[in-house]
Amino acid sequence: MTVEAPKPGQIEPVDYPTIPEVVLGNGLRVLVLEERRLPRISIRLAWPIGTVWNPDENLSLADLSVDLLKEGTTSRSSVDIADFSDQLAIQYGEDVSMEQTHLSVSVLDQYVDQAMDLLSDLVLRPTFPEEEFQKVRARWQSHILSQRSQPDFLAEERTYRVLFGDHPYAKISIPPEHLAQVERDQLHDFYKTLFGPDQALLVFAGSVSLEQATALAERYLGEWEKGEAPSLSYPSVPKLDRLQVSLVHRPHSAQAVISVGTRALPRNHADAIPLQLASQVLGGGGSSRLFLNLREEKGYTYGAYSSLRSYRKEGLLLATANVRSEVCAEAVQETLAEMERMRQEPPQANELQRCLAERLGAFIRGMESPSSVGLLEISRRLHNLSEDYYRTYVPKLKEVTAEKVLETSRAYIDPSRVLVTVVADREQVEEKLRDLGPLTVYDMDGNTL
Amino acid sequence: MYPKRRTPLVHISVHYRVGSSVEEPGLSGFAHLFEHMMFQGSDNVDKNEHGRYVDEVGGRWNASTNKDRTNYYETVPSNCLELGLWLEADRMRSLRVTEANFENQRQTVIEEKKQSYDNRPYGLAYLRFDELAYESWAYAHSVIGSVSDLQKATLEDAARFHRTYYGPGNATLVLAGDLNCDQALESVGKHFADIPNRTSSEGSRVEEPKQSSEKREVLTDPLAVLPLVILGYHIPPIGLPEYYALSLFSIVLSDGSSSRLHRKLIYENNWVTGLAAGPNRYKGPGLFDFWMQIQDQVDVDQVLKAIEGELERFRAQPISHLELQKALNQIAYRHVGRLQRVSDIGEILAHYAVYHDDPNLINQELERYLSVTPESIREVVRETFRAENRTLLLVQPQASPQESNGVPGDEESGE
Repeated sequence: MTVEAPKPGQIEPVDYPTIPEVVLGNGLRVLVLEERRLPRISIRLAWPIGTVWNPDENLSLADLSVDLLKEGTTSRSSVDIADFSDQLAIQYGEDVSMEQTHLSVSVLDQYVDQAMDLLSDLVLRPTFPEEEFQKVRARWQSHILSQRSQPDFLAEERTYRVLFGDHPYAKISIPPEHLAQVERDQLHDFYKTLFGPDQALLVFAGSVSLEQATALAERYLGEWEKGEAPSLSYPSVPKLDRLQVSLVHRPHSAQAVISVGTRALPRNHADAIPLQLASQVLGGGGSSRLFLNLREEKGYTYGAYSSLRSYRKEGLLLATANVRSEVCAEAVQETLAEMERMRQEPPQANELQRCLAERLGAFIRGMESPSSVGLLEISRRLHNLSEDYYRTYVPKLKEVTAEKVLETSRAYIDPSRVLVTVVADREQVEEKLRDLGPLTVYDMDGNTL
Repeated sequence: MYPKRRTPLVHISVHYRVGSSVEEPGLSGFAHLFEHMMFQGSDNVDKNEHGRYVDEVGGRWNASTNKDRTNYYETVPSNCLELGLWLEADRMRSLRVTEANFENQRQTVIEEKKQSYDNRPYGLAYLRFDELAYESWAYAHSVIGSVSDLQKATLEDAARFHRTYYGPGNATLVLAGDLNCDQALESVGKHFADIPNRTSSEGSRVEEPKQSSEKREVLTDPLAVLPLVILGYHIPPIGLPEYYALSLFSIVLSDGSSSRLHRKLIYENNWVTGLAAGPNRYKGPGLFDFWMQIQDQVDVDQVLKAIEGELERFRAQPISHLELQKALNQIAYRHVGRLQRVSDIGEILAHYAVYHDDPNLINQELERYLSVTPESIREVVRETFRAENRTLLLVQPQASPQESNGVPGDEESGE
């Protein structure tokens, strides 16, 4: 007996909220997402400044200077800060990425004053104590040592290095010698110069009103002095003109990590949404072509996916999988073939429909909490997306046709001009990889072999 | 059921009371391999169609296996509740897996093992630790299992496993989010009520003998760059008063930069690069684990001595009321944090149902934490942290980082 699946209804749209905003005298923008369901408030301070602002001669400044904020202020020592925040369960976090830095405090609403007091202390009055600087540096030294033993990290580092060349986006890792050379004063100056209020966003989410949030911001961050708004210009870098292969030799590897990458688009480009759908068809989730081919048909891997990463001026499309070393070259071939198929024929109607629903579902889940809506809003502004970007996101997704996906794939997904990166034990994979194209072998520290 | 609408989403979760602890010696990894089979076809749903149905409505789906239970879930738009129930009911009622699909998933799981353990620094130690600490096979062997056992598994084993463990009598269904309880209950009845309860298992009761002397082992990991120490002390099962005392204790001991071990081992001395400690949350006999990555050139014995010194302080003097309050504040914050998303709420409710036979504990557990006193923590610390109750696994990298930095190729590696 065959029973038909129940017919689902239409997905209900979720409205992206209008987010009230207040600008303080020093230029700090305060956004508030009030929702009183749970007695919790999350506060996030975000700057459009990140590791690409590091000078070439030292790529550790952004990470270390932000890490040091919680290691001492004019009125609190490192120990005081840890005791104070843990006692009240103030969850303090920092996140430094290529083009953004976030500091966040999340707290039960009864302690919101203390949380703001702490945040303001770290942001306005950090002292970068020499003794704490030495400790932070030592911790980063072991951190980057461990990082270099992770195959996924090595694949990512090599991919960015080759695809972005001299562009600052290439520099996603800290060389050990930069850590050895960095000085306390450099960190102090880097932070003081770049991290002012005028470009920053302060986002309150949760059990807090606009009035209360504005008063808190004014009281604790109102005296923060306006800085010099920094700007950064990026060099343009040519795209790959042919397929290249980078092999990172990691002795004793039990698998091969493969990553096929190509430069794509920033999110404010007109083709960015069609390209999202193309990537979804190719490798978004467990019903995608890469997953069904490499895992469900061939059994090469536990999972094969593709995804887009977007920065202000650039983007990347990456197809990745961790595969059995013996079939490494075959897995790369299949990935390239799936990319080629994207250029040859439009997606089936039901396939496109599914991918659209997947994007829509992810969007709705992204709005499940006020703090995650805050993250969407921060990214909207960082990527220079229009005011109504999320309000019109659903219709924009729905208007993408199969023909448009084909056209977009032809423009941006070209397997004859991609970088294939493999992290594996070279003995097990090198010979067959040489047949794919010109191959360069690196050691785990990035030297060519 | 937990009806609460914020977004038009509903989370559907089915927990089966079966995990790797039921596996017979020689069939390690089977419960998890079987989890993969639940996506390979049932009477009305073909291979990979389960995921496709959910993806087509913009939902999210997955499953996971641990020592004590296997869970299957989907978060879908609330007007697709019926679809989700139908999908879960179909694979509870029937299983249709071909030899080819069984073989394909065997390969997939072997690659999963490599990706998650064999190709990662310390992955082997993770698999080894329970083997060393537990005498009971049920908890000693890993969830992922051994490749040689996975190679032995057959399609007939899968059919038997489904019959034995996947009946409604062994399952808990949780719905959370945007739902009307009366309507939802009617749909549940429609799809699940006529599934025969063929389950013959009562799940496993894991018994662990009292440990009488310390166990130690050293393991070499060619993928690691720094040493790692794992310590474990046997503790009673989850949900008992000792569990709540030890959970609060672990916050004071090792959570956050203000914790005693963080301050001593990381902040003051930079002897370890990171640490985590706490109860392992198995349903049966538990372990209180410590995981520490040791800095280059640091003497492991010195670190162990420092930990022993901190434990001695806890035995000598009860923690302060301020410290206890800190731990309770952390618990209160975490409790609120997991009530935001329907998927979190659904999984937590199911956890309480399966591990404590009481989903309503979600509203009452805080009281159990509040009944812990500094003195009751001291008692359980004295009882637990004894040398003869301890297992120690030391992982050594093959070469020190200095050496490996100096050797560019592997021409001389002697495997």
